[in-house]
Amino acid sequence: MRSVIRSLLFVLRTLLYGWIVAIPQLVARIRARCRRHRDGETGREGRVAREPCVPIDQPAFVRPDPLIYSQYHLAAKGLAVSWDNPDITLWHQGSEVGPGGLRPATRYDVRARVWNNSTDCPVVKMPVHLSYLSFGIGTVSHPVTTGSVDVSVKGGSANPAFVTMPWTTPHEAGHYCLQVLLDPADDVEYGNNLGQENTDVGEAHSPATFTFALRNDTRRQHTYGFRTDGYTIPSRPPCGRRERGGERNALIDRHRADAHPLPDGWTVDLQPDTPALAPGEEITITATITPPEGFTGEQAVNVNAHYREYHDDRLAGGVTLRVRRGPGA
Amino acid sequence: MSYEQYTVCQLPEHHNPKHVVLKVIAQGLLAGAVGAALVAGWCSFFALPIAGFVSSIAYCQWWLYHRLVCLGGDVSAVGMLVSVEPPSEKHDAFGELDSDYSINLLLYPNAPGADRTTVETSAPYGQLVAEQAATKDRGWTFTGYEPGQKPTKEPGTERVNWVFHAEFEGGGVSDFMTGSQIALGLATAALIACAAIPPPWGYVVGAILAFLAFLAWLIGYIVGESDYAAPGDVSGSPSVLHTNNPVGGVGADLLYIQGTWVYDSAHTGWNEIHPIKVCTKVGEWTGEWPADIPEIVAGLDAGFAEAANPLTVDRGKDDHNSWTIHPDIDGCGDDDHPPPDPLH
Repeated sequence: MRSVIRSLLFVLRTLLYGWIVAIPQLVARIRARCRRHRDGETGREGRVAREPCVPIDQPAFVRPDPLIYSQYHLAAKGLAVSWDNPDITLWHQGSEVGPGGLRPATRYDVRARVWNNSTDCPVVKMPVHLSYLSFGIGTVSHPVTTGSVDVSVKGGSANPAFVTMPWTTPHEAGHYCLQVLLDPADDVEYGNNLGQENTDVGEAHSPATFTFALRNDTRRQHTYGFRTDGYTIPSRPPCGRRERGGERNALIDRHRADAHPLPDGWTVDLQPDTPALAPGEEITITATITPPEGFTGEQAVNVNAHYREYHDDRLAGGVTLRVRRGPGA
Repeated sequence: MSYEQYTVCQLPEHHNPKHVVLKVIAQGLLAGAVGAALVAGWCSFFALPIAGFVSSIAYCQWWLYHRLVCLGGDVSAVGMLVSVEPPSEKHDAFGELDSDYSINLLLYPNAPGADRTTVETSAPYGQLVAEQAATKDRGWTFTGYEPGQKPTKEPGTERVNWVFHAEFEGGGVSDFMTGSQIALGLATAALIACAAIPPPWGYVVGAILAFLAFLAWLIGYIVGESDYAAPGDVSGSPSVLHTNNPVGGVGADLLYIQGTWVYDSAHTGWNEIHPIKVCTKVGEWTGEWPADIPEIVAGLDAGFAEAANPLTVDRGKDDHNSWTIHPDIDGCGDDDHPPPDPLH
C-alpha cells in the first residue's frame, strides 16, 4: 500500500512540476552521454563500475546471519551477560562435564550450538574456530582447532546446528576458558560471532575465594574497574502469542544490565579493585564472595571488568563464579 | 526467496531473432495507419502518437517476453567477481531503462586470465558459457560476453577473462511499458475525441489528451529508469560487492548464483543467468580457489531449496522463531532442536 501511495504521489508530483524538473535532468543526461561518447566509452564499455567496491541492494542478494551467545555483543546492547555460555558445552566420554576440575592432557569434546537469524540465506561449511585461554579476562588465546558447520534458515531442519571439536587439555593442571569464533564468508552482523565460556565453581565453606587473571590486551595503559551482578539466563517464556512490540521489549527488558544486582546480603571483595595495567601486563585478581547467613544452594556471581577509552566505557571481559553451599556447610 | 522478475524466456523453437527493429516499426506504422484511415483531415495527425506508443510497447514486449531464449531451466554456479555493471552506470540509449544490475563472473575453477577454450571446457560450469546446440543449430550469432572488452577486465587492470554474465532484474522496461500503455489509451482517446467532437473543440480536447498521453509516456520513462530494487526489500541485505584490488590482484568476492539460464539474443549472442534468483558470497579470492567449493555449492543448493519450501517459510514465521538477538534473550518456548546424541 505504501508503495502505491508513493507511486501516486510521484505521478502527482510529476504532473504538477516534475516534468519541468525532468527537463534539466534529461539535458544533463544527454550531456553525460555525449561526454562518454567523446571519451570513447559507449555501450557496455561505459557500464562497468570503475571502483573495486560497488554497492548492491537487490532482494535476490542474500546474506546469512550466523550467531552464538556472544557476551561482548550483548553487553554492547546494554544487556547483562553470563559467562556460563549456553551455546558452549564440554563433553567427556559421552557425558557433559562442567568447566571446573578438568584433567590435564585429557581429550574432551567441545560442542558449540550455532544459530542463523536469516530467513532466506543458509550457512554452509562455515569455519568455527576453537581456542582456549587461561581462566580470566583478556588472557592470551591459544588456537585449538577449526571445525565447520551448516546452519539452515529460520524454520529449517538444522537451526540451531551443532559442531563438535576435540580439545586435549594442556599438561599443566588448571582452569581454562574457551572461545568459539564463527568465521562466515559473509554476515549481516559480525559482532555476534564470538562466544566465551568463562565459568568457575567454588564451594562456600565460609566465604568462597576465587582467583582469575586480568590482562591488558590493548595497546594502551588502562585502569580497570569491576562490576558484579547476579544475572543468570532465565528460562524462555512459553510461546503462543504473536510477537508485538511491547512483548518483545518486555522479553529484552528481562536481561537489562541494571536489573540484576546481587541478592541482599551478598558481598564481593575484589583485590586489587582498580588495577592499572600496562599493555600486555597480567595480574591475578582475588575474588572473595561471602553469602548471607543461612544461604544454601547455588548463586552465580558475574564479575565484569571495564576500562574507559575515548570517553567510552568498554567491557574487557568477565567471568561467572558459581558459589555453592550445601545444607550444614 | 525474494527476487524480481519481469522477463520470460522463450523456448528456442518459438524464438525468431530476425528483423526485430523492423517488426517494431512496422507494428507502429500499421497502428498509426489504421488510426489515420478511420478519421479524416487534421485529426489524422493524432494517429502519429499512436504509432509511436505502439512501437514503444512492441519493443518493450520483445525486450521482456521474446528476447531471452531458455536453455535449461534454473542452474547454479560459483564464480569470482570480475566486474560489475550497476544500473547507475547505464547511460546508453535504451540503457537508462535497463535497470538490471549485472555482474560478470570468472567461473570456478578457472584462474584469472583464463581464455575461452579453457573456460568452456572446464568442469563443472564451462558448458554454461559455451555455445549450445539449441542456438548453434539455428544459426544464431554467438560471440560470448563482450570478448576482450572492459566488462571482462578487472577494474584497474588489463587482464582479460572469459566471463559468465548474470543479471539481477530491475523493473525499468516494465514500468516504461506500463506508461506507454496508458499513453496509448490516452492517444486513442485523443483521436476519437478529435473525430467525434465538432471543431474547434475536438481539436482542443484531442490536443489536451495527446499532451496527457505524452506525459504518461514520459512518466513511464522517468519511473522506469530509476526503478532499481528498493532499499530495504530484504532486511540487512544491502552490501558491497568487491572485485580484485588492482594492486595484488586479490580480494574479489566469490559468489554463488542461482537463476534461469538463457541465451540473450539482444546483442551479439551469449549465454547468461537472467534473472538471478539467489546470490550470496561464499568467499574471497586469495589467489586460488578454496578446496571445498563443490561441497559449498551442494550445500547451498540444498539450503536454498529448503529455505524456499513453504513449510520452512511457515515455520520461520512461528513465534518460536521470532527472536532476533538470540533465542535465550528474546525468544520463547522450549528448544525443539535438541542436541545430537551424546558423544562417544
